[in-house]
Amino acid sequence: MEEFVRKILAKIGIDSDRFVLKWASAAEGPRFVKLITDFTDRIKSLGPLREPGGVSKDDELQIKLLAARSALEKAKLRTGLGNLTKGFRKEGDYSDQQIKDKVNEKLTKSIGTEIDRNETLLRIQKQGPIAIDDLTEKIGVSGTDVEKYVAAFRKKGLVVKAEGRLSATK
Amino acid sequence: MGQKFNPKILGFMCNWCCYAAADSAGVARYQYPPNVRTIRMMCTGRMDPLFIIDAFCVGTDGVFVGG
Amino acid sequence: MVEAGRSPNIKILTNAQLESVQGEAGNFTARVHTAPRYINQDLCTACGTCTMYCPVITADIFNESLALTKSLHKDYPQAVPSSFYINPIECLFLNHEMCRICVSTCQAQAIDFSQTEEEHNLSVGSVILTPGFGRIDDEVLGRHGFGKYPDVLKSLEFERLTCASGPTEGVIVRPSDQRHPKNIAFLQCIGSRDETCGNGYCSSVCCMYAIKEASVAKEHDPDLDITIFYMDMRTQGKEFDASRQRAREKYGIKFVRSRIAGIQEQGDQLRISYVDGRGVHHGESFDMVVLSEGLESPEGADDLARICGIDINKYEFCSTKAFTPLQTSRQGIFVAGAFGGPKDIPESVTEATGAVASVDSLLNKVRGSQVEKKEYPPELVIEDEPRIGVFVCHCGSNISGVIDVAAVREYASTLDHVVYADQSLYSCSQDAQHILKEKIKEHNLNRVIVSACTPRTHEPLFQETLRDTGLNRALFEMVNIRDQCSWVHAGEPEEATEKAKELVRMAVAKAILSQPLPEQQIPVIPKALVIGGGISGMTAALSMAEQGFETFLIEKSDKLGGNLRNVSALLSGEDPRKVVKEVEKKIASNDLIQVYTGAEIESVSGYVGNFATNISSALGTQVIEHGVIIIATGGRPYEPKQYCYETSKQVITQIELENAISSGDLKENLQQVVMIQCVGSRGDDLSYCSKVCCGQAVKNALRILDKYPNTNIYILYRDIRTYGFMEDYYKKAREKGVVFVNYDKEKAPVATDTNGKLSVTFFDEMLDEDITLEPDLLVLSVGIVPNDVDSLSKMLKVPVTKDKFFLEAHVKLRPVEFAVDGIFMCGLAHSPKPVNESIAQAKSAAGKAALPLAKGVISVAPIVSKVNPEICIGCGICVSLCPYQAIQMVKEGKKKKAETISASCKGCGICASHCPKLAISMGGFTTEQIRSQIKAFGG
Repeated sequence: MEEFVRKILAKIGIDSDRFVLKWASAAEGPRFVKLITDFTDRIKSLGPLREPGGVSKDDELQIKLLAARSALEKAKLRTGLGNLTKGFRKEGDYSDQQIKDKVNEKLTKSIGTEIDRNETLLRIQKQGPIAIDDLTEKIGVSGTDVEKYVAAFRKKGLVVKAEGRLSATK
Repeated sequence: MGQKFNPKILGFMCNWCCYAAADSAGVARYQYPPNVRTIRMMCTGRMDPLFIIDAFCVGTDGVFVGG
Repeated sequence: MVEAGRSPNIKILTNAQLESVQGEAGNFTARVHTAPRYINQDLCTACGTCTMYCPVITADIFNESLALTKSLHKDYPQAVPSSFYINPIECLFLNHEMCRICVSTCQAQAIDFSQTEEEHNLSVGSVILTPGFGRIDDEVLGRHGFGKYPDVLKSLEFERLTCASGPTEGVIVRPSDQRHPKNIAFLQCIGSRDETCGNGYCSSVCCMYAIKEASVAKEHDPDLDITIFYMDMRTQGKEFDASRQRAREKYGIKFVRSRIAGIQEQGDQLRISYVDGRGVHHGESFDMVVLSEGLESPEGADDLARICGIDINKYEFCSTKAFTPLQTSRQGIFVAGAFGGPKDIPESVTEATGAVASVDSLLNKVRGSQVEKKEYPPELVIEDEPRIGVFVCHCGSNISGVIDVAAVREYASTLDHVVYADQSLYSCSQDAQHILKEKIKEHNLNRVIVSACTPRTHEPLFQETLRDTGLNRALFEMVNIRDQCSWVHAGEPEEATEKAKELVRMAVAKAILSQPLPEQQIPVIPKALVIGGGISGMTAALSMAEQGFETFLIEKSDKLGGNLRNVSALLSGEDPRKVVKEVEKKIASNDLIQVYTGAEIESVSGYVGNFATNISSALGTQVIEHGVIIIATGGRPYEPKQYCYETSKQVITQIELENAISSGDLKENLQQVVMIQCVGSRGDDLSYCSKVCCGQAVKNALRILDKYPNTNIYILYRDIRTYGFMEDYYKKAREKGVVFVNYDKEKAPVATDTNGKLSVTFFDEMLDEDITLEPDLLVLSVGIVPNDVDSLSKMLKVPVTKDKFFLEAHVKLRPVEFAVDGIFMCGLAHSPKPVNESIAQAKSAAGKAALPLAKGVISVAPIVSKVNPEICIGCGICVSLCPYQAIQMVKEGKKKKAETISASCKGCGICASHCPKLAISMGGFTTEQIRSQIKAFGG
C-alpha cells in the first residue's frame, strides 16, 4: 500500500515525502512524539503544498488529484493492488525491496495509464470543448495515448467531437 | 517575512498501536506540534490509498499513517 | 490487563495480603487484608494533576530506582487499576499531618485520607496462586560488584534503560558518568546454579533475556561491543536457538563459555577475569557489566505456603508433580507462573489458562451462577434525520486548562445536524451519565458525541449509557481532546482549541453517517474435537469433558498414549506408562468423551462455534459437528543415520536404552557408556533444540548407575540444558561420576565400526587432545520431529513454522491459540517439550477452548465487515487477504459472492481497503464515514 501510494503521488507531482507510514507500539509514547514532530518538521520544510488560498477547483494539481481519485475509485487499479498484496501474502516475502520491485513490475504502468485516462475525461468535462492537441499538452503524455483514451470515451458515448474540439456529454 | 507556515496534516492511526502510543504520550504530558488531526481506525489494514488521495484533494499538506 | 480491569466479573484488590484460606475445594473462605491507597478508584479519572503537585519526591521503584517519582503516583501509564496511589511511607500528611496539597488539586475529589485498612472474607470455590518470582538478594549480587561499582547493573535495571518509556527514554548510559558505554559484558547465572547462595536450580529464562537485552542494545547502538559470559547457553525454547544465532550473526554479539573469577575496577572501567573451557585465565575490561540475575522464589513464599496449607520445595517454590504441574498439594488450590518454578512469559501465560481449566473442571456445575449480566431496554428505531448531541468535557482542568471548552461547544452547536451541545466538568462521572440520558430523551438525540478523553478507555462506558436509553452503541462517537490534544499542546491553547473544534467537526461528519449495527449473537455447538491421542490430546480431551463438554478424541494409530508408552520413568521417578493407563481409564469411563482410534480427518469446514469434520475410521466415514478444535498431533523421535546407528548394534537411541533398562535387557556389567547429545538437533538435520534430550540423558545415566554403579559414563554435549529444577539431577550425575565433555558443532565426535568393534573419538578441550573410547554402548540423544501436518494445516488454514511446528497467534501472549478463532494447539505439535509442560499446555488449550463453549454464543462486536452482494464481483481478493479466515465465498445462483463470517471477523478492514469494487463496509468505519471525516478535515 505504502509503495503504491508513493507511486501515485510521484505520478501526480506530489513529493512522496508528504506521506509516511510509521509504526509505534502502544507503549512507545516517546517514539510517537518523535515521529509526529519529525513529520511536522518535514512538512514545514517542504512548505505548503498549494498557494495561499487553499484548494482551488481548477488548479493543475487539483485536476491531477481528482484524476487519481477517480482512478482509485475504479476497479482496475484496486484489483491490481489487491492481487499484488495477495501475492505478498502467498510468498510471505514483505521485504522493502521485494515490494518495490513488484509494485514497479506490476503496477507502475497501470497507475500511469489509469490516472492519465481519468485526467483526460476530467479535463474534457471541465475544460471542454477542447482541442485534442491542447489536451495532450496539458496532460503531458503522448498524443497517441490520449487519442486512444478519447476514442474509448467516444465509443461509450461519454465524449463527443464537434468542430475538432472535444466536449463531454451530460 | 510572510505569515508563518502552519501545515495541515491528517493522521490515520491504528487503535491498538499508534493511537494507543499517542494516548500514552498524553498521559506522560509529552509535548508535540498541534498540526495533526487524527482519524482513528481499528487497524492500518483498513487504510485505503483512496483516503490519502482524498486528503490531498481537500488540502492537506501531509498524511501520516501510524500503525 | 485492561480487559481484566474492565470485566464486571473480576474484582481487583490491590495493596492486598492473603491471611488465610479455610474450607475445602469448592467452598473456601479466603481472608484478605487490604491497605488503603488513599484514592477512591471510582472517582479517580487518572488525570495526573495530583502527582504534579505532590511535593514528596522519591525513588521510582518501578524503574528500578533509576528515576524519581512522587509519593503520590502510578507505576506506569497502562497500570491497572488506572487510578493513582499514595505511598504511605513517604506521604507528608500521613506521617506529619501536613501538606494535603493533592486534596485541593483533585477536582474529582477522589483523594480520601479517611480510607482505612479492611478485611475481606471472600467465598470462593478455588484458589490460583500466582505470586510470581522474587529477586536475588543484593548481597549475592554484591559478590559480583553490584553496589560497589555503579556501572555494574542488574539485568532488570538494564531492561529499564533500554525501554523507550524508561528513565532514559531508551538511551543506554553509565550510571557513574552518564557516558554511553562502548562495550558491555553480561554475566550469566548470577544467583542461579549456585549452591553458595542456596539456589542450585537454573532460572531458565536468563540466557534468553540476556540475548534479548543485548540484541535490543545493539539495535539502539550498533557500535556497541557486547560479550555474554556463560556456562551453558540454555536457549531451549521454541525458536530460541534461532534468536541466539541471530544475536551472533546479525548483531555480532560474542558468546564466551567461561567461569567468572572476579570483577574489579580498573580506571573508569571494570575488569573481568575469567577461566575458559581449557582452564586458561583471561582478563578483559568493560565500560558496563550487566548481571543476569536469576529468579528467586517469591518473597514470603513460606508464609504463603503456611497460609494456604500447601507444600513448597527446598528452594521455596511451590511443589508440583510432573503429571499435575498446576496442582498444589492441597485440593482446589492451583498454581501458575514462576511460583511453580522459574519460567518465561509464554509458559506462565499457558499455565494461567491451564489453571483456569482446572478450576473450571472443579466448579463447572455452578458456572455462571454468580456472574453479573447486564440487561438493556429494547432498541429504539431511530428517525432518518440525524439529531446529534455533542457533549464537551472539561475533565476538571485537564481539558479546560488549555482548551476553551465553551468555544468548542459553541462551535459544535453551529454544525449541521447538531441539535444540542453541552459541556460538563467530568463527562464520565455518574451524574454526568444521568444528564446524558436525560438530554438524549429530552432532545430526541439519535447520535451522541462526547468530546473528552480517549475512546480506548472510555468508549465502552458511554456506549453502555447509550444502550441504557435504547440507542444502539454504534451511534456513539468520541473525540479525544485530552490525551491527544490538551495534554500534549499545553503551551498552545489557541491551536489546541482550533484542533479540538476541527476534531469535533470531523466526528460530526462521521456521526451523520452512523447507522445502528446489529448486536449479533451466533450460537455455538458446545462440543470439542481433539486431534491426536498422545498425553497432550488425552489431557485436553479429559479436561474438556471434566469442564462439561462433549468431546471427540481422534487418534491415528490403534491406541491412545503416544510417545509416553515408550518412556518407562521420569527424572522425578514417576512411571509414565502407569499414568497413561490411569488417564486412559478416566477417558473410557467418561461418557462425554468419544474416542476414535485408527481414525483420520478427511476434511474440516466451518468456523468457530460451528465446525463440521469428516472422520474416516474402521467404522467408515462419519461427520461430527463441534464448536472448537484442539490440535495435539504430537511428534516422534528423530531417526538417526549418524554415528554408525544403522550398522552397529552397540549404537542405540535413548528410547531404546529406556526400553532395555525397564525390560531388564541391559547388558550386564556395562563397563563404559558414551552418550552423544544433539544428534540431529541444533543445526544438524533439525535446526532447533529438542529441549528434552539433556534431561533424558541425565536420567538414563542415573538409572544405569543405579543398576551398575561402576559404569563409566561419558556425556558429550554442546550445552547441557537441564533447566529449572532438573539442574539438581545434572549435579547429582556429576557427583556420581558421570563425565560431561563439551564438544563444538564443528568438531563433533566420530564413531567408527571396525569389524563389529565400535569406537568413539572426541576432542577433549581440557586435555586439548582427541580421545578414543571403545564403549559397550553408544547412546544417541536424538531430537523430536513433528508429525506430518501438511494436509491438516492446509485444511484448517492455520500456519506452521519452517520447522513444521504449528505457529501460535502470539508467541508470548497467546501461546496456545491461532489467529483463526476456535482452533487451539498443545504438546509437541507446538514445539518439543517435556511431559509436564505438555500437560500444562493441554490444560491451557482446553481452558481457552472452553470459553466459547461455556458462553454458548459468540457475541460479535459491531465492527465486523459486511459485503454488499449486489456490488461484489466474486474476485476473492478479500478471502485470500483476510488474516483470520473470516471471509468465505458462497454461491448465489450461478455467481460466487464473498460473505463475512462475523464470528471470526476482527474488524481490521484489510478486505474493505483492498476491495476492487468498494463493496465491503466496516461497522463503524465505513468508507463513506472515513471519506466524510476527511472532507470535514478539509473544512
